[in-house]
Amino acid sequence: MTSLCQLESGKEASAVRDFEAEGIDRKTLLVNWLNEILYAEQTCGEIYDRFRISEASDNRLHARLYGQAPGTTASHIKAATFHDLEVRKTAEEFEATVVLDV
Amino acid sequence: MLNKHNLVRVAEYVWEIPPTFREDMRVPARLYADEDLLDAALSDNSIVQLVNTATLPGVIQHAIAMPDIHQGYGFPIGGVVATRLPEGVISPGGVGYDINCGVRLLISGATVEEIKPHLEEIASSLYANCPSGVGCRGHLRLTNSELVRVLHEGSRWMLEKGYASLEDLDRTEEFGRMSGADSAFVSNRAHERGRDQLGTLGAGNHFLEVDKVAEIYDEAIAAHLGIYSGNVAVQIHCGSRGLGHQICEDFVSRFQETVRNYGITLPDRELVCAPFDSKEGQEYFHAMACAANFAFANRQLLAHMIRRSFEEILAGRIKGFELRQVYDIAHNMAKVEEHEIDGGSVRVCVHRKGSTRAFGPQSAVLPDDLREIGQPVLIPGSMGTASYVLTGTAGAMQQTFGSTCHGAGRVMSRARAKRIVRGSELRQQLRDRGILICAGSMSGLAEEAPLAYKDVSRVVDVVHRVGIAKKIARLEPIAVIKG
Repeated sequence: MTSLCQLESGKEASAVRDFEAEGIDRKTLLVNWLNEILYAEQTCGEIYDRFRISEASDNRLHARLYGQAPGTTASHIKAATFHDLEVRKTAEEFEATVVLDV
Repeated sequence: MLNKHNLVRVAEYVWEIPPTFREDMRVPARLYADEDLLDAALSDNSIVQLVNTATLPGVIQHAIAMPDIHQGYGFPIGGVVATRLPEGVISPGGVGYDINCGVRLLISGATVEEIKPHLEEIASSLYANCPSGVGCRGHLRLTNSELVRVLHEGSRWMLEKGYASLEDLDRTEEFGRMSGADSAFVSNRAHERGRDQLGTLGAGNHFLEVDKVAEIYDEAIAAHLGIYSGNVAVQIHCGSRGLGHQICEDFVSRFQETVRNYGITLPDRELVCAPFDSKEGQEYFHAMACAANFAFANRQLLAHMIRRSFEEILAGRIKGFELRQVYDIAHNMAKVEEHEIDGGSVRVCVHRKGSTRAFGPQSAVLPDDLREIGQPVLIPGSMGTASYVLTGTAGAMQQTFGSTCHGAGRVMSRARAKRIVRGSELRQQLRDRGILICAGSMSGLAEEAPLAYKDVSRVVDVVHRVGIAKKIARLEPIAVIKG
């Protein structure tokens, strides 16, 4: 999402924000979390390119996001959707496919 | 994999996928298209998505696709799904993210020759008066109580504030106010996103367009609508902005649990739904109606600002430039309607996502002066091509729950269009053809290049020939304003 937002790389984080999201399952949690981030970007004029998860389960996630505050976002992403949504468990991590509404 | 062999040709422009194609289908899926448009539909995943909608609980008669069908999120764009009430479902994905995205057409008594010397000034004024682009803010910032009134009253609130005329309301679907709105079911986030967006176009495929009436197909009906060859018209294409988007997002997320609770199994999670008469279904309907009213008010305020631009530039220079409203249609909406099915009247929830209501003559929901001719249907083409005015027909009432197509229909993704088209070159090419472009973003302009869309004339010819709308007039652009 950040690459679509054309964020300037290598800059020190000027925006730090805590996020919480909930969902009835892992897939819903993922989409809800991404939409939390997009909402903050659109309303606060911030773009995030790094995050640190402090709490995560199948139904709940808490994370701190770091980014920049250009004032207005160049984001053309309107939302993360549930369309063709996939979350796969690999040997060591998860892989997800999320279709974004642009 | 679905291909042409899975479709049965039931009439010259009508194709059907029988319910035996997949065991979860409850009704056949039906597509209106000529051979080329069928090939275009088969080139993406839209027909599979159409088949998916034929699995919804309560779906009745057919899941229907218009000739401009293309792939959407969950539901295809260019689809109609009616569910039998009370047991049938309502689905936020069946309406789409831009609730009550629609088109308004204004017509001037002035001709293109009279307006053309002032066109650059008009376009600049429209660009200034009608904010566009992602996240743009309008000139009107609403208080909490004003926003609630907009959500409940739509264009009627605009009438009270002097931004609309009674004639505007008469010439708007639902008279500019969708009943059933209750802002108690609209989230704080949706309120916040909508508060400063009234009177804005947004981005994507939304636009303002100054057109000339290029051709008339039915003189009598066109005259009834005030449309004459050579006159200037203005189209507005936009919807409920961030507010409607947030409502869709809220309910698609919430309904992930709802479908579990009701034991509904679906082939795509974006199709989530709830029984229409359930608490959850009603709450979505109340919220959706709020977004619909916001969109009616949005297009109404834009119409007011367009009239102001015309007044600022043309007053004292030419006569008869005033803009009257031909009609305002919604093409993303769910509505409760009565339709004749198998000789009886049935109450249904009709989802039109990328489809226009096209009620025929004698429909009781039309104002008196339109009852004779049927509801005007407004079909915008891709930028730089043509747009059409049609009217609803008895054929649409019989075949498609009073519905028809909504536009040209995309055949190329936005990303691919941006890769192969340069916005600045496209703007020059259109200018060379006499079409003035005011756009905030050259990449946004490239996304909307005409080659990214089907041929709108072909789409309109299909709906005209199968009798689910009747061609009245063709419009051609002379200036386009985009985000």
